[in-house]
Amino acid sequence: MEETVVKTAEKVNELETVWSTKDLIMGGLAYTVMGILIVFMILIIIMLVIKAMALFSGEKKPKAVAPVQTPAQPVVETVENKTDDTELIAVITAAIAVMTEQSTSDFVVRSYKKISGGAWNKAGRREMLENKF
Amino acid sequence: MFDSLINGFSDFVTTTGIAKMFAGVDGIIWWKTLLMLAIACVLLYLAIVKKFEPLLLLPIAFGMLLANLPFGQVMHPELFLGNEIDYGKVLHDGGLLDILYLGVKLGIYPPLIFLGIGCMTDFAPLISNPKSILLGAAAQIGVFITFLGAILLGAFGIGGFGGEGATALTIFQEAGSIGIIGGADGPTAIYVTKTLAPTLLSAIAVAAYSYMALVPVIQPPIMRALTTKKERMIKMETLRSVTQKEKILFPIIVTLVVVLLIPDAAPLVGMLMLGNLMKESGVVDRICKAAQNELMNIITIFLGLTVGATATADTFLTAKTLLIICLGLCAFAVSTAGGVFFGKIMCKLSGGKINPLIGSAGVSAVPMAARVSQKVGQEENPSNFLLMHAMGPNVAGVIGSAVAAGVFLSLFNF
Repeated sequence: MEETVVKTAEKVNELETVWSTKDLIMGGLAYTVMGILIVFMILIIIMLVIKAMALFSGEKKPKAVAPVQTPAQPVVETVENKTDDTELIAVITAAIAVMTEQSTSDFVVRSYKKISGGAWNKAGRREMLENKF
Repeated sequence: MFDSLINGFSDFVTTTGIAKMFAGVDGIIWWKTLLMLAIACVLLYLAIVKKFEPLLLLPIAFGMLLANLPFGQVMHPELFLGNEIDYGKVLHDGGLLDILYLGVKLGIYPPLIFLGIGCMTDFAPLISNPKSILLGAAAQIGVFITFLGAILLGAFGIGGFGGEGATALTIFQEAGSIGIIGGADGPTAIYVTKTLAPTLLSAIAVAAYSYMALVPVIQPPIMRALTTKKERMIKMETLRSVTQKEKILFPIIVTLVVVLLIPDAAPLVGMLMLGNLMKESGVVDRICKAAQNELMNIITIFLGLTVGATATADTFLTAKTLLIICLGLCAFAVSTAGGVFFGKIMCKLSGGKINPLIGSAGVSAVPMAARVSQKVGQEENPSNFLLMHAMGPNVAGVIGSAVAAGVFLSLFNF
C-alpha cells in the first residue's frame, strides 16, 4: 500500500516540472498511443462479454424457417413514374421484408403499380374492427 | 433639499452597472465586457434563430450574459480558482449561480444527465451486433489525435497553451480537455474539463455543443470523401432480435467491466447503465420517466446556465478560445474519419457486409450521427436502411467517450 502512494507521488513530481519540447512530444505520443489502446482494449472486452452473453441468454435461432423461397413478387409491373417515390419504395421494401421475413438486402423493389380495388382497404377495416372488440 | 436629491441621484448613477463598467471592474477594460455581451447575444441568436442545440446553448448564452454584467453578483468565478476551494466561503458569499455551479464543480450534473440518457437509450442494436462497438472505439481516435495536437502546440509554445514555465501536467490536462470535444458528448466534455482545466470550461462547452449541432454539416463531406459509391450502397443484413434477458444483463455487465478496469469512469458509465437498467427492467417505469424528463430538464437548465456563467472576459477572450474552437473542429473531423476508416477495414474483413458509413456514427452525438449515416446511405440507395445499424456504433460511442474520459482522468487527475 505504502509503495503505491510513493509511486503516485513520484509520478506527480515528474509531471509537475517543466518538460523540454522533445520530452513533451515524446510523452504526448506515448500517452496518445496508450490512450487509444486502452479504449480499444476495454471496448473489445465488452464486445467479447456481449458475445458470451448472447451464447447463454440469446434467442435460439430458428434455423428451420430461414430459407424462404422468394416467390415472384406480386407487384412487378413497370409503370413510368416521374414523381419522387423514394419514400414509398422504402415503405414497400420494409413491408415486404417484414412479411417475408427476409433482409432488405435480399431483394430490390424495381417498380410497383397501384392496383385499384378495395381488397386491402377491406382487410384493413376488418382488422381494425376486430381489434376493437 | 435639492442638494441631497442631486447627491442621491449621482450616487445612484455611480452604482449602476454602466458606470461601473466604464470605470473598469476588476481590471477588465470596458470594451472586453461589451465584447462578451456581444458574444452572448450571438450565441443566443444561434440558439434561437438557427436552432443550434437550443436546449443547451440558450441557457449557456444567457448565463454568459448574466455573469458578464458588472456587479450582477450572481457569479463569482474567483471563488472557484486555485486547487483548494473554500466551500464555506462559496456558501457564505456565493450568488445564485455560484451555488448552482457547485453541481458542475463537484461533478454532479453530467452523471445525472447520463442517467436520463441511459433511460432513453436502446442498446439492442449494439447487443445484436457486438462488432459495432469497435466503431465506437475507432471514433475516439479523434479525441487522442487532438490531445496530441494540443500537446504539440504547447510544446512549441503556440496559442498560450501552458505558456512560460507551464508544467507538463498543465499542458496534458488542458490537451485532454480539448481532445475530449471529439467525443461529441457535451456532459463528458464538461465532466473532464471541470476537473482537469476549469478555466477552459466555458470555451470547451460552447465548442462541444456547437459542433454537436453541426454534426449534419461537418460529417457528410468527410464520409463521402473517404468512401466509394459502391461502399455507400452496401445493404446490411437485418439485425437479429435481442431478448429481454440480454437487455437487462447488458447494463449490469458493462458496469462491472468498465468500473473494474477504469474506476474514474464510474460516475458517467455507472449512471448511464443505471438509467438503462431502469428502462429495460420495466419495473420502475415511474422513476425512469422522471429521470429522462423532469430530472434531466432541470439539470440541463442548471448545467447550461452555470457553464455559460464561467465565461468571463479574462478566461474567454484569449487566443486559447480560438484555438479550442479550431482544435474542436479537428477533433470532430478526425473522429468521423477514424470511424469511417475503421468501417472500411471491417467492410473488407467481412467481405463487403458492413457499410462503412455506419462508422461515422461512432461519435456519440445520439441519435444525430446515426441519422446522418442513414441520410448519406439513402442518398445513394433509396431502399437502404442504415439507421438501426448505425445506432450500434452510436451508442457504443457514448460508452467509448466515457471510457476515454476515464482514461484522461486516471492519467492526469491527482
